[in-house]
Amino acid sequence: MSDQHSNKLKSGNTGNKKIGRREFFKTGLRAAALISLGSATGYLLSKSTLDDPVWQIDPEKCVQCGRCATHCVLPVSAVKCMHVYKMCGYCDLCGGYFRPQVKKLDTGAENQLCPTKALKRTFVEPPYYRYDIDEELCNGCGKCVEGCGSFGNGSLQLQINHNICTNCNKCAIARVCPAGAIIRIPASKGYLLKK
Amino acid sequence: MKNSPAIKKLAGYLALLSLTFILIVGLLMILNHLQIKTHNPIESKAIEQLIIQLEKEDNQQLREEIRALDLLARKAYFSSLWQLKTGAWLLIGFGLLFVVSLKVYNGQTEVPEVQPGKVLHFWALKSKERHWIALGAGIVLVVALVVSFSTRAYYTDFNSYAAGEKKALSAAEGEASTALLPDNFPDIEEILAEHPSFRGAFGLGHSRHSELPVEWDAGSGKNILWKTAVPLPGLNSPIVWGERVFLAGADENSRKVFCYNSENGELLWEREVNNIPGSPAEAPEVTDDTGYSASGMTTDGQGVYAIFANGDLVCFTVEGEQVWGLNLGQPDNHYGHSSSLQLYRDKLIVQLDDNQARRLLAILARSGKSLWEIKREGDISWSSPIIVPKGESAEIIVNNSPYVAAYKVDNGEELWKVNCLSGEIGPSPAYGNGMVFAVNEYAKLVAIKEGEILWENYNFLSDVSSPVAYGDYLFCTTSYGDLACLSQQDGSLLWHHEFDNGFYGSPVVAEDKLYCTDRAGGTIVVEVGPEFKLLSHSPLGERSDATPAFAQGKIFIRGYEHLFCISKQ
Amino acid sequence: MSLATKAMRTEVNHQKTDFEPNISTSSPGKPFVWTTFTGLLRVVLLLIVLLSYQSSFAEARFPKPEFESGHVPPETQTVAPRAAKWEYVDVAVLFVLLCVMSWFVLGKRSRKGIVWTAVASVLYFGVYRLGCVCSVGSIQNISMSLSQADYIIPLSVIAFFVLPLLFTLFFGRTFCAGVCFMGAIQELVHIKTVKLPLWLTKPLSFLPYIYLGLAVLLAATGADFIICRYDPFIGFFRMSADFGMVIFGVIIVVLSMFIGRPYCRFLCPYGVLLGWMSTLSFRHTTISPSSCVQCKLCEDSCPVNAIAKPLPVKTEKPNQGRRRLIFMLLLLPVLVISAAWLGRSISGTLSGIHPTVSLAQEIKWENDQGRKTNSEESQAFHSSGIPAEQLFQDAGEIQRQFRLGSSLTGAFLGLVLALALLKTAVLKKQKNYEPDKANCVSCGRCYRYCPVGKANSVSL
Repeated sequence: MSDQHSNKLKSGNTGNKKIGRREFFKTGLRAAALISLGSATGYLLSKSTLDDPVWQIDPEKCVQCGRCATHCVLPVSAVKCMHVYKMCGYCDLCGGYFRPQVKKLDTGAENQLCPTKALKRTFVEPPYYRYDIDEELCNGCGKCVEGCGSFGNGSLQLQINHNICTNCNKCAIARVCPAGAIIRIPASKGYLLKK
Repeated sequence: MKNSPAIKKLAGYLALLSLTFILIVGLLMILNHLQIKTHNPIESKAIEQLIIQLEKEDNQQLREEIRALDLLARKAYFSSLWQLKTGAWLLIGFGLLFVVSLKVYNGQTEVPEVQPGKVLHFWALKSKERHWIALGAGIVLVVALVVSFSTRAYYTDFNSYAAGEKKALSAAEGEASTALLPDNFPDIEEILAEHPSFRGAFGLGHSRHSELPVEWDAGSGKNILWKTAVPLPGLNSPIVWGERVFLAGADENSRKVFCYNSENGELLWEREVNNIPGSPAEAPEVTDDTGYSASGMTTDGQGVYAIFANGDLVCFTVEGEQVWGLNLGQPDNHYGHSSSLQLYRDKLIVQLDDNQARRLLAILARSGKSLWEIKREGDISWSSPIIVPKGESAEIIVNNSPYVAAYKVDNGEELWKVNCLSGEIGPSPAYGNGMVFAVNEYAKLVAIKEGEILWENYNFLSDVSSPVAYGDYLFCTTSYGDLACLSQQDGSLLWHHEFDNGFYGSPVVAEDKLYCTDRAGGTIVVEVGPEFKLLSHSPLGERSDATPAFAQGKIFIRGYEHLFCISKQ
Repeated sequence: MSLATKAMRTEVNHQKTDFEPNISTSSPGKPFVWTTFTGLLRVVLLLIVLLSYQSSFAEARFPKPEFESGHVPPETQTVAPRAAKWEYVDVAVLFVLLCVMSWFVLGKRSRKGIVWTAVASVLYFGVYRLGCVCSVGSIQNISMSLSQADYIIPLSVIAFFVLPLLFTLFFGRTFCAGVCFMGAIQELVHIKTVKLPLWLTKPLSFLPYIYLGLAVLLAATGADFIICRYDPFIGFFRMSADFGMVIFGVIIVVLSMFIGRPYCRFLCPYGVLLGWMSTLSFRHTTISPSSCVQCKLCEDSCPVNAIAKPLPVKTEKPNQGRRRLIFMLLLLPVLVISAAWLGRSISGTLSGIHPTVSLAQEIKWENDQGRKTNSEESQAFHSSGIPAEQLFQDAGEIQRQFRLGSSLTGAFLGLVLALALLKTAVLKKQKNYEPDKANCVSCGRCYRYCPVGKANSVSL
């Protein structure tokens, strides 16, 4: 309605010849816009995937700098410590649980590495202890991961929990990661835990 | 939509009220934020202090105090998180209320009365627009120019920089190679006749020297040719070329290389290793079991090469003139770097494992320039590479957890790799009859031929000292004091003897005898053969974790404090 | 590796520390019981170790335990990422909202419908989806996908980029009316319009072009996604953001209560593209449902200043208009070339935003100074084993990309400026009150002001 109408109005204002030229020009531009949109979409589609990328930490590259805890856009980081129990040595003196110079191997706060006490220690059988992570408390600082990596089997690893992560277009932690350890991976893969 | 005056009034009050709340909650949240930023409770310095104090003096009261403080800190942390979350909800809620009530208060704007005003004509408006567009563009231009010129001094054009760097390097290389060291290298036979690196030529654990003493006693001085104090500690074993014996030593502050005359123990020269570009200002954290100079040196009879725990790698001429020095990056190693150097013709082989990466490097011995570098899979290790000459070329055998692998010395190409070990690997591999032997405590002893495991054994596993293969036998010593002799063919135990002291130094075979120095400094000499036959047990009088070195008629053993030369008298 | 430090399991430790006294065999008074005890312990330990090792080939420092109590190590619990089908739901919601919005704008001419569609968009894309991914940010994914071979773009992001452009090409900026949750927020909180003077709006309207140019440049080189980084509204939905961003967001919200759509007009880079499409749109909303009677009632009704008025044209001196036009046409290549030069001269500085270049800068500084900065970046780099030369080469390559990219960005901005100036030299005769197609966001506020066919108008 409006298009025809305005055309009519315009043709009332100016000469027919001029309108003809303008309209021709405009139609050309419209066609160009459509074609470029179409071809760009076609090209992009040829490169695209159904398997959307998600952000994840490559534990091989991670240096446990502690920025995961402070740079996530969420109030508490979506990065959590995850425990690959199958790699764990169930050590009594756990490098991820205890401070380096620890004297007594008990659950006293003065002995623990975790600032939020998110790592729980349970006796299994002599001499083995199991370590579980309370994700509610974990803030992803990676202190335990560093301890376990330096002195133990490296079974504690930092990963992005996809249940919490909002999958930002550009991960705010990836921007500041000194080791470039936060990468896009296909959603079907999800996690990069070392096994 | 027309609102009654009462509703309008109510909306006005609501708007004011919600604005007040927004300001209060906003202010509180800013304060909360600033507090968390400046004093994050879970990173409390006070608790850290107390814990440091606790490391010095252990008392229960202090423990209780830390626990109480820690509980408080965590409470503060989680409640501040809760406050931020609640605050955000409140802010958004009141924000909505504020906007809605303002809208109601404001009601609907009436359609205006048309007031005849001054109307600009078309070209006048366009001319104004043009001015303001030009102004905007002018501002952008000025900002861009200022940014461009003020930051010019701070950025580097890496296209030209990378090219310049290369030129400088090649210039330095040319200078170094012509100035101090000749371009030729000894051939394989010459090297095999010397003791140029840790565990002898190519690290294989054999010596070709003869007329060696079998028995000595440092207490009575029997067969002790000379003994000299080494000024700096170091767990590296002596190396010998001709009449020169080389050692390295280091502590937290200084790193030195020493050269002794093998005839009389005279210190020919000592050189401080400093002014190495890129060398870290602070010494790495090491344990007593490795120290600052655990890695063995190597030599080609013209240059001597040493590496230290901080990643400094240096080359001197045998006369003591520094040829080049560089830092390979301070290894992030929780015990301290301890892998020894190896040399094959012009290539210095460096195994540089740390917690971040497991690297194997070939560095041109004359220039210090990197020839190739590979990253290996697996975990950090403390073992040393060995070299197996094969025709015109050679293979480098390296082990770490879990791999034993062979690489081509020319380009670092991986020849084979076997997944068989575990744990923190200390012992280096051994080689004999085409087989590679690798071992680690709590893992196993494996024999590998061309990448295939031939047999495995689970007894007498060493954690520090390296095995040695000779003839048809394989000898292993452990830090518990075991000495075991196995058949190379099937890994069966031929004999075993347990000594009082454990072994850190590795056994070496010379003149068909096996020399093993134990941690107390005693050297056990046994005959190489299918039966256990102890020839002697000679005390050194001080502890030693080093591997003995050999020259014609002489044995060199480094104790914790002294270097001993033992010779038949 | 000391025996004492190597193993961490305590009885291994007992075993090993016990071993130390053996070295000084001469030490007197060592009880016999003690040695027997350690001997026994050693046997037990050896058994444990052997048993555990023969059955496992773990590549670990500490072997995998064999539990006598039958304890089985649990599996690591992970929650899979959002399934791909939900991305289709997002795209479908976008499509439906665009259709509904276009119908409200062009068919129903219902301001109320527009407002409620905007509310729906804020609820779905903002509150539920937390604002990611949005069409504005998708520009960066598109640029990155076009320039970086290894970046694989999700299908949904392409849809988010293309659908609004297509709709705009057919119906005008109905996307901006409220399907875009950022536009919707500004629309919904707007209370009373304060008119901005020309001297402010004209220079400011240049900002979105600069923003677009920078965003494309930085995304294409892989340096950063600045549109997402400086998104003013996303923090409200996540209820957490950088302190500076919260302040920025609050400022934009407060401004948009009194100024029509400050982000859309003076920042939004996607708005630039939408503006182009809208100029060419096949159909576009009108102020009047039928024909304009030139009552001037709508003159000041537009909060984004997008109503083009008919203006009287005074006759000028002969040839003045033509001379001005020729001058502007000659100015065009000059502006484009000089802006390209300016872009090139600033490329070095811009390249510093790329993490690889800034790392190379730091490592070069270390090399020059002969000491380490010990920053996390430096430490991570040195332990990565990558030779510095390699890093410098990579940085050089990125700088080359930047040099080309920022020259092009400069040329683009120069062209935009030249065209804006050119536009002021072309006479456009106009008799009626019409929306300025490029800037009109189809918010429908002006419908109410038009007296023509009053029966149709809806008020809020």
